[in-house]
Amino acid sequence: MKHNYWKKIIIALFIVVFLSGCWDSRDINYRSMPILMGVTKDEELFHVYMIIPVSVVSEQRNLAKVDGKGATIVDAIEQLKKKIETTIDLEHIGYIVFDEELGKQGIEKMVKTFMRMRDMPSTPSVAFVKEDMNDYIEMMISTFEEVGVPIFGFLEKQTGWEIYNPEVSLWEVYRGIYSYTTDIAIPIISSNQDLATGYFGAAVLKEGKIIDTLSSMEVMLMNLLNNENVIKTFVNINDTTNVELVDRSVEYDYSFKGEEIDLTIKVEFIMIVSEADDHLTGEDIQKKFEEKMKKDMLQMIKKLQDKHVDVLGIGNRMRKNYTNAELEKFLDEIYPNINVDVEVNAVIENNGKIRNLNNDDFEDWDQQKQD
Amino acid sequence: MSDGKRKGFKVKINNLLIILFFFITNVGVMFLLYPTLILDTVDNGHWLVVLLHGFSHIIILGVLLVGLSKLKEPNILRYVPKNRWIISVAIFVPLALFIIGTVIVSIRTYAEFTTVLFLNQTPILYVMIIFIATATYIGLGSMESIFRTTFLIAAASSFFILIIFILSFLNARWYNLFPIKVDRIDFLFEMPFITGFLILTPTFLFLAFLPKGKKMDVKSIFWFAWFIIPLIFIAAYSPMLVFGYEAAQNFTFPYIEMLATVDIQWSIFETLTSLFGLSLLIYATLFLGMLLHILRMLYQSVFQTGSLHASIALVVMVIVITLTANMISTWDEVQNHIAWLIPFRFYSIISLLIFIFWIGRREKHEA
Amino acid sequence: MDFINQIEDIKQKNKDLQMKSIMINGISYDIVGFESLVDFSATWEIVEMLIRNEEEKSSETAGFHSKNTSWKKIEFSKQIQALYEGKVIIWNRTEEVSLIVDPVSQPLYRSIEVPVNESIIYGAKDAFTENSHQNIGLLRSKYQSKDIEVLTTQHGKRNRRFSFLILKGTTDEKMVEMVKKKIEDYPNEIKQVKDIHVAFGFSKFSLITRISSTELPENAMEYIEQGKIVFFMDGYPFALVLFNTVFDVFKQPSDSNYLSVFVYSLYVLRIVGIMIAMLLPGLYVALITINPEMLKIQLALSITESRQFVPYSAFIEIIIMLLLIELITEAAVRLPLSISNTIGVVGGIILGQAIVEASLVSGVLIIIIAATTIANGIIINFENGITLRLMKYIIVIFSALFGILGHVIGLVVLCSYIARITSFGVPYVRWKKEGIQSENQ
Repeated sequence: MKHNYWKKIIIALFIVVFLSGCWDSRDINYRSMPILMGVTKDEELFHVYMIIPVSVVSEQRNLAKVDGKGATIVDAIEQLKKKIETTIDLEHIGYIVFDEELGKQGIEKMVKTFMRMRDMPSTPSVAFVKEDMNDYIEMMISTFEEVGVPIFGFLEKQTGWEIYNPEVSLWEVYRGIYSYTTDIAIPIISSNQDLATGYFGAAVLKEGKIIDTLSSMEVMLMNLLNNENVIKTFVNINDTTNVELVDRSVEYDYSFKGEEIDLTIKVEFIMIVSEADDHLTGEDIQKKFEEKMKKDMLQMIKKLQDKHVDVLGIGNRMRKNYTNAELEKFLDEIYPNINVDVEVNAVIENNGKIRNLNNDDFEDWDQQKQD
Repeated sequence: MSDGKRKGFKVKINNLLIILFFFITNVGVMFLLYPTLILDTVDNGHWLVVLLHGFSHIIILGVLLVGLSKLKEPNILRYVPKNRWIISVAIFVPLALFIIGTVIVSIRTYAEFTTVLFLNQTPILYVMIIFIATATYIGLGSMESIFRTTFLIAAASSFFILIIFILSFLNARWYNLFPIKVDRIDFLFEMPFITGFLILTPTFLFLAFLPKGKKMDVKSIFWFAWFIIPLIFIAAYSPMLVFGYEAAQNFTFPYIEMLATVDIQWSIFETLTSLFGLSLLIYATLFLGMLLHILRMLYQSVFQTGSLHASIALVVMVIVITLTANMISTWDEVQNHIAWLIPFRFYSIISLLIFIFWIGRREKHEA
Repeated sequence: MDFINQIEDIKQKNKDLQMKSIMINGISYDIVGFESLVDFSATWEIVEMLIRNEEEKSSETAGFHSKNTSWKKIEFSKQIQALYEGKVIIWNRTEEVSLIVDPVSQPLYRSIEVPVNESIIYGAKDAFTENSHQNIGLLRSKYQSKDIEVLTTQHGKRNRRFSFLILKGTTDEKMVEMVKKKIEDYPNEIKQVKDIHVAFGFSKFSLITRISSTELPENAMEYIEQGKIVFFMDGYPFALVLFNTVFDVFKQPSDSNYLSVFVYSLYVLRIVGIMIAMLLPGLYVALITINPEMLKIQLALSITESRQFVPYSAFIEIIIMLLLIELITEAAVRLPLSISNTIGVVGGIILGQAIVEASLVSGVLIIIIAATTIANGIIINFENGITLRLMKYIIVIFSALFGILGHVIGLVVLCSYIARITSFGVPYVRWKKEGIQSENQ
């Protein structure tokens, strides 16, 4: 039984190796799992805040604020770790907020650091905070404690986020920083007395710096042109008329004429009338909607083209015509000179539970009869 | 417990097991280093590189299978001629060095990967020791037991792998497929391409060393091997589809980073990455086990001169391998070592093929 | 009167040896047998009839004598052996010949009963008993064909009988011959199944039962038809089955009495059960101590909360609980049925509740342990259950040391261990008939 003999020796080796130490072993109750990280800058020092759920015996969960300052992000996190006796696991961070001021200076390096860190996930949502970071964190904590249980509510991306707010993950920001053809827009938020987050549209980043902001309406248009889900999106046409979008399809037609590029964005909407003036026919609503959409979109595209940023994915659709070397200059040289036109087509699926009596439903029928 | 030999009961290895092993090891090897190599090779038109690699892989495999199908015994070590030192110096020494080198580089890579993913604080040496010890344990069994282990592992994990393959396209954006223009083909002579070329060969070496009494169905293995090409495509292109070429080339393990972006609500676990990483690691362990087993067989039938038992020799080799791997301290050195292996790889594959055809012809003459 | 003297000798030492004399046609016969084995009052008639028959036959000269029942001079030691086997010897004093007769035996064997250890819902409800003749009879009644053959051998001082069943064309007869020889050549006494393992040259410390036992004739018959070797050891009320496969852990023949769809879902359920029984405790340790990042944040926080005042590490915690459960299981087996229920209640409910309130273990762990214990029960055959019970600990140890990675490495090591197990060259991980029958096909 020579074989068995050797098996035993190997097993013994195993055990010796195994018992020599367990480096990563630390029980879960000696670990803290922050769920939110806030980054700001204080007199040339990075200031990192974290919200950590603290378990207590009573059924209610409490939240704690921890902060640290340091010359770099990692240094600040290390300083923060020194302040509490449990190990901090960054793996569960679901939300990273940057100070808006920091965004104007550029967050590129921070995003790269976060992507580089081994224990940082690449999925947390990213946002800019309009107010002072300390106030924001305090307000968040008091809000959560008032509401009680649903402290994870704002992390559940499927619930709180609507189409008016961009939803951006860390890795998408990273991709936006590196990509030749696309940029990223990050939501700007602030805390709010009413147990909810206030939204102020989005900041458009170019190479990690905020160079422009989009209003809520523009964010919605951006999402419509990108591949976001549109169901249950309500669009105001004017003060009295409102439609609900059911479906949309976007098509990018472009043609090359020498140096010139003509781009036509064809957008088709299927919608439900949710609020309307009594005198409007379906066609009127449709037209108004189309005009409004077209105007707003063109306006926004112009604005973005002037700033050499592309958050709508126009460049992405043109990737196939270039090589990567050519794409490197795409946003600065080719993109601003594209002649963009927008064609909007809207179809009313229904009028809700009330019929629109202004419509002549048999118009087509009558016309045919006359012919 | 030498199976098959006792009392003449032949044990049939199912063809399926061979194919399964082939795929499992390919998955284990392909998804870590290969995407980086592909991304490094060219700026545009990675599909050409993928196809070149894939087809060359299949051609070499096909030639090997044709050569093997001419032989009566599936294990080429039975044909090692009597004046064997010339052959062993010419063919088997480089082959053994190639295998040893592959094992060294692999355990170093997988240990690195493990520390990135699971055990941030554990020293790399100890991670390497777990891998190599497990691989040795697998390698000490018969080749058939390795196949059967693979079957059990595959039965337990293939479900996850399939789901992960599907989910890896969750964040994919089709326009990141572009640009697909091929603007130059001088990459053929550049380092990343050559490094990637035939990097998968160790996965089918085992076909030349199958145990006695095994009749494999050469054709079905060959046709199943074509599924390698879609696998390579998934490995190379899914990081690109998610991040775009520009961002994807920054990562050490692009495929793993790509999986880390998948955020699903319904999973029991927080991330898919860990599950996929675990599957890769156990597949790789099986692969290493097979390489060590081949090494043991080589020692047994070619290099054994003294009375040192093959298993003990293997354990000694493994200790040497671990110490060598421990000397590779930085990740850049790992890349260097991969480059060192290239001549060994080409030489040993070609000489092995020549050897197989030579013994095939000799056998024909004798008959 | 050598014979009589020797019988008297034995009688001195064994008070239950009976010798009765009878005179028929002027010849005196002695009837010898163990009172404890033979029901004399019932046997008497048979004996009398036999002797009378014999008288008539010998006068006729023609007529047929079966070999066994003819009068002849038999070696004394053989006669004694026959006595111990429960036979009766009729001794003809004048001619000094003897006749060995199968008497009516004392009711030493229980009758065929409903299976106790392997409960089934749909399927034959008979179970094997200690008497291997009865067991073979049970099988013959299920396969009424000339294809069934029985090979018997006896071994050791105890003269233990081993009967092998052979299904012509399916069973590998060379293999049976070899197995039989292994038993015959074994120098020591075969007392328990463990000794058979040793006789066959299997490792004593194997985690896998290579010779499984089944109580159900239906299962045994199915195993024979699969080409496995089924044999009986006298006094062991189970059929011993050689070459069980990894599939036998979650498949059993009587499953086929259900709807096919249900059967497949049952297989899936059992595989899930096996996974839970083997992996769940290890997973708990790995996720709690080393890799909590894999847990969902909500789950992680609630576990943190329930572990708040637990002084031990997760490994110690789970070992305490597992140990407790093993104790409860063992106690329930040992104690009489009526008391073992109490053990269940005390162990399960009272202890479980108290141990959480005393903060010795966390509440989540109780759920894990309960799931593991329940899942362990879903596995076909108690022996396989024991295997999983043991493997669980290996995985737990691996997990405690290397987290989730150690968990899967432990799984790989176990898979590799299972995969390399072969019995007489037949691998444990194989398809139904693979390996056993390659010779015949």
